Amino acid sequence: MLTLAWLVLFLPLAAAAAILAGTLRRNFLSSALACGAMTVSFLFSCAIFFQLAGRNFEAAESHVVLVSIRNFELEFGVLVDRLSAIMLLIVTGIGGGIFFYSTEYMKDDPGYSRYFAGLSLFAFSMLGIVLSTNFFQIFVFWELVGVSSYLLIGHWYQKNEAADAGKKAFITTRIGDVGFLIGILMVWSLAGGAGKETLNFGVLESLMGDGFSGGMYLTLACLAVFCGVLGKSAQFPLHVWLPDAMEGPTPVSALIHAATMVAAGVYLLARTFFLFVHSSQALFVIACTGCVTALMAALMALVQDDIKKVLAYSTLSQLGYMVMAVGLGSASAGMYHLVTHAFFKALLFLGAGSVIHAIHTQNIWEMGGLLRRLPVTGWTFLIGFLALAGIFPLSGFFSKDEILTLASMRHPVFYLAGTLTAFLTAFYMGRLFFTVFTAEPRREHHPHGEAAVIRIPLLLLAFFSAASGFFGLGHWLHTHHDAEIEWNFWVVSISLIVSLGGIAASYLVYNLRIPLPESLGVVFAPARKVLENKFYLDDFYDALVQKVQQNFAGLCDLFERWVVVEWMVNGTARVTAWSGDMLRRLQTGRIHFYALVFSAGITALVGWWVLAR
Amino acid sequence: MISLLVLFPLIGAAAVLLTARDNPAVIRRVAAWSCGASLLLALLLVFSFDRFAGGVQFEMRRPWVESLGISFHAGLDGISAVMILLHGLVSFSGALVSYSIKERVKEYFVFYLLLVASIYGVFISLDVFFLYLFYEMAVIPMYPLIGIWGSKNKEYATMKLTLFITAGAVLALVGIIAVYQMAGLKSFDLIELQRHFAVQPLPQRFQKWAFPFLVFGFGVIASLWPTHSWSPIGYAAAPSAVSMIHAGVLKKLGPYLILRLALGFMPDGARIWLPVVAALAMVNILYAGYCAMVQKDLKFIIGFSSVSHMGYILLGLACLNEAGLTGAVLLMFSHGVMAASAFSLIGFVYDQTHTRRVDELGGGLARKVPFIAVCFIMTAMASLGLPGFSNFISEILIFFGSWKVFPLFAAIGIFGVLVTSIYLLRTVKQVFYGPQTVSWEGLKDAVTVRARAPYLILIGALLVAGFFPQLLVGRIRSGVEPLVTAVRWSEETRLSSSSTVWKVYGDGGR
Repeated sequence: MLTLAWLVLFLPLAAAAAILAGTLRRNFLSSALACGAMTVSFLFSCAIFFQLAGRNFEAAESHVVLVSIRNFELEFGVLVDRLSAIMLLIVTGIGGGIFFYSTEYMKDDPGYSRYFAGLSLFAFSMLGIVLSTNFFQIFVFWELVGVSSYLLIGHWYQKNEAADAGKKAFITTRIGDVGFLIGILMVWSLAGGAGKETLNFGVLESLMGDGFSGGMYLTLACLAVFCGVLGKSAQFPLHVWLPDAMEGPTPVSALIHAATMVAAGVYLLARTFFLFVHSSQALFVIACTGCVTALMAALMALVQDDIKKVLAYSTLSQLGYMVMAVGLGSASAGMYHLVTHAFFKALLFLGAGSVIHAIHTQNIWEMGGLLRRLPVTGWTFLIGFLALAGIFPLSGFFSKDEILTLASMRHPVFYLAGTLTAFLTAFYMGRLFFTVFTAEPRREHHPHGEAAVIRIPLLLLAFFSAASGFFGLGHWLHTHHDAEIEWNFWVVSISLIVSLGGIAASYLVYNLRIPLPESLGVVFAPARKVLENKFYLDDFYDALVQKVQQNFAGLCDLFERWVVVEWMVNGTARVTAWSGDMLRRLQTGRIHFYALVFSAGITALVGWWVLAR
Repeated sequence: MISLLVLFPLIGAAAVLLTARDNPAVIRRVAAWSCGASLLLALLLVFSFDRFAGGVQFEMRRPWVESLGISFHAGLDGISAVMILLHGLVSFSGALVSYSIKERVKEYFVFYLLLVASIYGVFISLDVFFLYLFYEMAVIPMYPLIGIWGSKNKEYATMKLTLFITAGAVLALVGIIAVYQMAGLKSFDLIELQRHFAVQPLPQRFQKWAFPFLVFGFGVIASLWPTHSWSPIGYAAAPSAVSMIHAGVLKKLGPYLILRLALGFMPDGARIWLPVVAALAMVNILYAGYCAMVQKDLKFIIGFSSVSHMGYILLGLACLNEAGLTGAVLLMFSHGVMAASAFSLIGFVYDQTHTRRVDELGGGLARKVPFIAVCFIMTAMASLGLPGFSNFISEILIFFGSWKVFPLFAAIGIFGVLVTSIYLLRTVKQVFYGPQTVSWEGLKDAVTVRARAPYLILIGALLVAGFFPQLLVGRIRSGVEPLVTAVRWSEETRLSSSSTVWKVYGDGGR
């Protein structure tokens, strides 16, 4: 089983290396390598899952020592347990679907082989995070996920926007990683204090068993680790890269939003939840961050005109839910939502990709009536939409209501914000769906049909989006660290009513196009402006970079030019030259001048000698 | 056998001297072969070095001036083994890159091979006299190499560089002579001196004033702030291969000699003074990083970047524990290879476009020169500490090492990695991505094996060391361990932590 896990991990890397080394000019071979590796990885993941089930899901790991220095080792290995087994299936399963879908979507791209090398690297990095046995290894793959996203978002590097978006994604997530690495060092110190300098999750968990108290230091360590999550899982205030990342090819967006990258943060929280349970302050901060992100992103999604951007903000908002769930004390609820969300968000993105592929625009106001033209895309998109809105009996209903129930058990503010977000989600997704698929088209389109490699992943994902609520995943993922969640009839019915209300409202406004009173637009104009400007956060960061960072750098440069070089270095040189010049003048070559200086010197010496006595 | 490392390039230099001036093809080939021979030998030595036995291996000794106790004593320990590998990789790639030199080819390669030979000499010498001699010898060919074959501001740059390094060397010489006198052994033999100091250490008061001579003297060549200003302009003016050797290897002589002489002789002095070095290293990391952010010339960007990265090496040294020292030596290797790759790539573009200014290059070059672009991006990724390249492992080790001793500095260092990624990714974007605004008709990608070889060798080395770090770490560890033992002994028996400059060395360390 562990051998299989090693293979699952390294097959995509091997594919990426083979593509780079040999098949850059043979497009078909490149995609075959990438898809083949992914398929085999998926099959192996299934095998791992069943073998693990046969062992009653008892965790197993194997590792090699990468670097060893006296009583300190950097390990690299694979860890197979419940959490990683299910994530393996998600990453290779959904990822594999996206790989196949890409063969059609990227068909005529000049960077086709490069694209598949990037995808394989991305899959490898994510699988590495999933299988990590320790903090060091997870950080390694954390960085690799960052660089893969950089390469893929910037796939069309000749577009300035794409190149900038890739850079922004990499640097923004790296800001979080500064905290993450410091957090790892703090955890290492904590472990040293508890008896063993280790970063291994299993050992750490047993060191920090029940009743462990790390005090303030532990809280700080948890928050520092959480910084990594802020970056990768795009939580407020480091969420700004995610909408821009839409510059990448659509299947990449699907991959980032469903199976990899943003899932990494929540997975890290679940994986290291044993640490967080010891610090209620850290959990509170996490819950607040998730809550703010969920609500803020849902609001911003209301005013987007780009089909991919609406979905991007909805991902942000759903990630907020997951992080909030972890903060409220249940990592399993967060993971549950992560899994169902992976299905329907991949479905929605691939559906959006199919639309874009067919009519070559991303602006929703240029679309309309596509349900008839692209039936498979349209109906599966509807399933994804309803699942995301949390309508019974689709998967989103179960996972989201678990989080809302948990919130209602904790504090009414979290519950209210969560419910409001649910309403907004239903509304903006309704706006998107009705505008694109059912409303009267504002422009004539002649979309070409849907290829089989596009239809099949959509149908499969639609099935899982609809059905995965019945697999009992929430209960299955539950560990003894997680808070118990009791089913609450009122919470469930209220959220269902709220979601249906959101859909109904959007149906009225965007499908039937009920004329709204003019005054409404005037009242909401300022709010709209704030939302369209993304709460001015991007402007604030731009100012920070342009004004503060750039000016500081300029100041350093000036200091270098004038103080270090001109004043200290050239100054020394000038003083040397000047003193040489002065001394040179003493050498006049005139005997009587030397005699004068000589006798003056003698006089001074004698005088000093006499006076000193 | 070990002296062949020095002899191959020297023989090469002699052969080049004897070759007719109008036959540059032969001259180039002779130079490349002699550097290649040394590289092969270095590889052989490194991989036959027994890392479990440790200590000094492949020793040889020829007495020279007996009255002063000078002998030609050569050998390798774990640290210098890794260093000769670094020098072998960089000098061979540099020789290949130098194929683009068109003027006075003969003189160029004579000086180049002399430079290569002297640096090998520094790394294999186990006698302080020869160590210093080779060190000074390396400065001499550097002066004409930059002054004659350089570009833009070359006279100022070469003068400045030579004066700085010489001044540092003189400062260090005072320290060395003081140590020689104080030991009273009448011997310059490094091993003998170290063995002697292990039994009978130098007095603390002596160490307190002599240590700064060595550490700040050699600190100049390690571009310790504020004596770094020779470095960016020196690299900018130098021809590609000289920038490669200089940034890649020569600069590493600073930390190498600090390790060898300053730390090896005076562990008490190290404990007193290295916190100061660590603090200055922080200035290196951040200040040079921010300076790099506003540079327009590619070589200045990488030049300041190398000043910034030297900060990590010095921080690692200042930890005085195994993780920190091992990380520092591994970073000397990794950064050396990385810097060489960066300078050679910039040289490739400059040779054809005659500009290194980011704004004049105009962007979009990735489509024009895809191979060079990929190599540059990989080099940048190595530099910003991406896992998979050995730079990452080195920096991680330094952070783990410094976390227990200087947690604040470790945090600043981690932040510095972010600064690095900002200016490097910006550079990549501005030069290689985006639409092409200047057409650069004559710009051709590297296609032949010979043209691609230097980059493939250097980046390949970083990847191999990054995927299998224990290959080098195991060797480095065997060299670092004696130093750590000496420091630990000093800590336990001599200075209590309260008498260090700052009370930073707590009990929790090492």
